[in-house]
Amino acid sequence: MNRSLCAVAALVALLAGVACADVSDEAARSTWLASTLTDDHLVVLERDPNLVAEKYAKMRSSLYRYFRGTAPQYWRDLADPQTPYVRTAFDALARDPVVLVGDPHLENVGSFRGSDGQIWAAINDFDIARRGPFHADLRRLVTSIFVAATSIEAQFAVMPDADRWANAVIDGYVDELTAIRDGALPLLVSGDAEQGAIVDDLFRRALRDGADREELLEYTEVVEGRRVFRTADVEPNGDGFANDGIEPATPEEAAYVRALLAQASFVATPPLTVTATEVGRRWGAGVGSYPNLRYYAIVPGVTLDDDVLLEVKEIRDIPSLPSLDAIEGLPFRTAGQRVAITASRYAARADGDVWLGWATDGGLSFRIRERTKYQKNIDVERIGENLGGGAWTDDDVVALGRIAGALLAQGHVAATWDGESNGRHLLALADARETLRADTLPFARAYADRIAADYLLFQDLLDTRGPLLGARVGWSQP
Amino acid sequence: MNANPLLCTSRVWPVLAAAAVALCGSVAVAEDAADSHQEPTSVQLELYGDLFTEYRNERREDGPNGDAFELQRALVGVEGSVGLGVASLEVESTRSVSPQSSFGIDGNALVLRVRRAEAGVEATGELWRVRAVAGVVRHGWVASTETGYRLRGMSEMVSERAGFVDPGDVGATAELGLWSDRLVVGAQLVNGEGRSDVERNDGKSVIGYARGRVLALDVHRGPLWLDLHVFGQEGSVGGGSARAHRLGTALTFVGPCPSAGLEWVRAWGVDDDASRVGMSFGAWAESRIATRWIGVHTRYDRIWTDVAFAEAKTHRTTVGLFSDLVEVDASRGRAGLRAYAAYELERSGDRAGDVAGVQALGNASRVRLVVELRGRGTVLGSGAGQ
Repeated sequence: MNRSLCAVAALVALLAGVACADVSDEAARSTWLASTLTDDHLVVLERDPNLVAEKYAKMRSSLYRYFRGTAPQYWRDLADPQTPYVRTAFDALARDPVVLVGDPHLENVGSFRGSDGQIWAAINDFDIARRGPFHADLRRLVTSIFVAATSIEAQFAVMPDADRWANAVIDGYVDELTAIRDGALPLLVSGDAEQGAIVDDLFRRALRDGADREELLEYTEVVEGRRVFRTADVEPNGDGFANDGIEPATPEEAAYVRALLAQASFVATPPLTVTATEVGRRWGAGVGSYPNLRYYAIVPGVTLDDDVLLEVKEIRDIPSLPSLDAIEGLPFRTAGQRVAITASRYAARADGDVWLGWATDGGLSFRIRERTKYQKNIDVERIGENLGGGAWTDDDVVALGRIAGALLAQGHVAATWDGESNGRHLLALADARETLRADTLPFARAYADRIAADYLLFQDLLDTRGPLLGARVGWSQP
Repeated sequence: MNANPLLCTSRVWPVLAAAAVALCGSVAVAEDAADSHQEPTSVQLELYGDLFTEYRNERREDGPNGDAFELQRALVGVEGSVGLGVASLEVESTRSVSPQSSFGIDGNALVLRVRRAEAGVEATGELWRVRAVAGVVRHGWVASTETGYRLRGMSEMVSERAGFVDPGDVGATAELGLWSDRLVVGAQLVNGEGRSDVERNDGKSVIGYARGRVLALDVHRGPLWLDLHVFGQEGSVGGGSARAHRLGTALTFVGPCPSAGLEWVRAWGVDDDASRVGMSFGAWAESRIATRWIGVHTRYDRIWTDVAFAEAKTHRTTVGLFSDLVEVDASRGRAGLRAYAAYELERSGDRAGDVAGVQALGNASRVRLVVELRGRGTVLGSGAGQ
């Protein structure tokens, strides 16, 4: 017995020596970035590592694109005790989760058009939608304002009034809650009224290109009376990532997508029956979802001018937050269903996209939607150009910020997954504007600084570890 | 600083040396044993399985409430030996595959995965035992401490629950047992990513562990013993090779009626973040009350997700009753059918929840009804000619 005790004690002493010098915060953050970005792309790294390298190259091309590519890191950071930390003053409200966008930011505000020709603005990206505390969404949206301001300042030599922009988001959020509390219908940000130069420009471009069926003109051509996809240059450009383009899918891919569409489910009732003729693979789109499978399918109309373009896009799982998910779980069978249903719940009008749906094949999940040029997105670079050129002013960004805040608020209150619970408890925030401001802005400023610092670390990682951040590729499949 | 390419730091040498000694020893002893034992080759095959299932009613502080039936574990395994050769295969079901899995969607699939699959040699002498295996091996710490842990149906050890150790990994184990396993010393060399992930960096994790029996008595109702466990790990994890160093110690007491234990683990590098230092502490006890039909159990877990912040910790307290409905031999809690009823209270500091700053997202109370079925049996045991 004594011999055992002595031996164990000796081993304890030995092991104590094995520990443990401090690690600098920035070095640790750098390895964390490399690890978590690799974790987020494991499947794609095995499937097509070049696409991951191209995504990283696209993230490198601007601070805002880097921000767009790191939403899963944001959710991890929220669970990290070291995150620039501002305890929420709305603990009680935050405890009751609402349906979140998951990644709200300026460029996820876009345009839709209804069957009566009305055009309106709404949030349009729900790839990592989840249930959770409202302030996680609001802080992400306000952070995007600070990141956009920093990005614009660096690229276009203007001095944005970032605090004023950010305050506009809070004001828009609270104003919308106040209006709903007082009995008003949710704000419809439509092209029927002036919405500020930025959103007006969004509508103008959408109406122009949408009416021209620009999506058909740009991506397709008619050959022997049949619409087919043009061949585009989808090779990586000088910056290392592909320009947005479509090339005809291989016969195997086309058959695969047709089969997906044939068994797809749609939000609209009665269920739609989809028969696609041609299928193309879209490359170069998005940032976060850049390496995901993304196909376009032509659904023939009565005439060639009535043809419809559907996007079939791979959706992957969201970062796991065990204590949030443990009780309620996700009431969906697939990630594509989660995204499509959430998009429909956030929609200002039901006819913005009648083709919204989802399809599944084994472990792969897809979201389906119609693609028209009536759907345009806010573009931070375009804002920078116009601010730099003097065409737009801070007032226009403030107007956009208020709209973005309002759209988020109405989604938080109204969106529901189960048809019962929603975020009406958030209406209490209508009387807490200044507290919400103080609760949100310091976090967003600090986290935007974190993003900027991470962006430098990320560039350094690419330089030192290579285009895949040192990820081992192909080891699991000799 | 964080990278741990194999052999690049001097600190791994003591543990590696221990592993090498144990490995060489095991091979040498195996050869001796093979030479000296000319008797017919013996064959043995054992089958075992665990099934833990529960009903849970959970209430969150001002948050979502709900209840659910869950299958916590369904595991079958087989261990076999042919002469000096040993092999084992253990397959478990799991509810939570992880994000980025290529099969099933996160948390929404029930899939089978290999928990243990190892093969190697084992030789036994009068006062010693050596074993060297490779494959998907059990983490030495989990394997060691669970020899004295009788509440596995309710929860894994706190260090495993905190994510500081994974119960298995791909690699190799060399283990030496002396004086009828009163002292067990082992060394492992593993990928470091855990049993369900592919290797993501060039570094390997080196683990050393030991278990010593500091007290062993026979009392009138049966044997009791007190074991001291220690382990250390120098490792790296993830594509960034963040450090994943661990140091832990535990005491487990098993008697004919009560059992109890304490476990403490410190973790340098948590959740791919090399700068975070975490810690876990667990204490538990269980005892029958006069008869096998009724017993009491209690457990306290504390997890520091980052020791730099006072608010970055969670507490979980569990109290309840159990009943050994079916008992196999005297292996209380190791085989048979046991039912638990428990009340569990969990509290998180401001920074310890899924969303830092929302304290109550981690605050919950639960009522749990757990059924634990464990069994083990020899399906084949013979020498040549039997």
